Amino acid sequence: MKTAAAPDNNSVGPGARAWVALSAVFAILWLILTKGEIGSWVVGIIAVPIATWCALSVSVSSNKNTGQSVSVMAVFRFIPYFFWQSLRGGVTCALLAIHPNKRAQTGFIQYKTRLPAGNARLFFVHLISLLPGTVSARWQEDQILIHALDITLDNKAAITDCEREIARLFGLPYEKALETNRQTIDEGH
Amino acid sequence: MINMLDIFTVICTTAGIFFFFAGTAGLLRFPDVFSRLHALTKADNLGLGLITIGLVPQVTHFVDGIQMLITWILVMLAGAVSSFLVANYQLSISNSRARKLPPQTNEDSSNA
Repeated sequence: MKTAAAPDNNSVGPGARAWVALSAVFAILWLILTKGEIGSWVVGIIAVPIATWCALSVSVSSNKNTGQSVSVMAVFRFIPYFFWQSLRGGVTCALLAIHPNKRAQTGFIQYKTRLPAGNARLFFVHLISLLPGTVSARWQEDQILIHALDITLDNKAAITDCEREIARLFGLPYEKALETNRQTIDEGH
Repeated sequence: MINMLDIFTVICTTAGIFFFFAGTAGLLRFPDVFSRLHALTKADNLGLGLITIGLVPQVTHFVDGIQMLITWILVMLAGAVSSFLVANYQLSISNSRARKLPPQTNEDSSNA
């Protein structure tokens, strides 16, 4: 998907602006990762434009992200949730892995997300993989096929929680949608 | 005198090593590709996170700390995305096997 270059009266179009902004981000990242080593720019001068090009060629077109904005406050509220879930996920998975005779009862869950298309949904699909016991396996429009390590647990509740946290992070009105529209989740396999 | 920060580092990195060990055990012991992805995305990310947090008090310059935190974030992002891609691919090849079709119909089929 290519970022649509909307007709603009300015001499510098939004595409060029996005290119410059992203290049700056990747250049700063490179600077930090190499600790300002001058010699590293022999590689960096190639790596930064390539990273920018890759990021722009796969990015979701900006008109899909209307109404989605991430504030610094929302990020700070999100971090404790993320850390706690990472800890839980790691511990449950580690215990299952080293337990001598416990067999994982795995299975698939089909989940219909109500997050709008765009960055919120993209972030949701990948965050599922970092949550306890779930990995995203397929994603088509609002349907996500999720692999659960332990199908006997209440994975749906955890996924819905995650969905709500992401709606909060992106400043989307999730609670209202929850009341009016009961989601359908089917368990399979 | 034992420094409190050193104790913190030892506890965190030891826990981190435990989770790396458990992640590797899961990679070897879990029955299928999907379950193995759980071990890699969760136990290893937590292990790396604990080692990062444990080492942050030991840095001599704050840039080193920022560098380690960024590395952790990048590894987590890469882990989540690549686990999705591996799961997606595994799903597509097991579906085509079930339908008695070649693994892929596009130009990649020569590699499979």
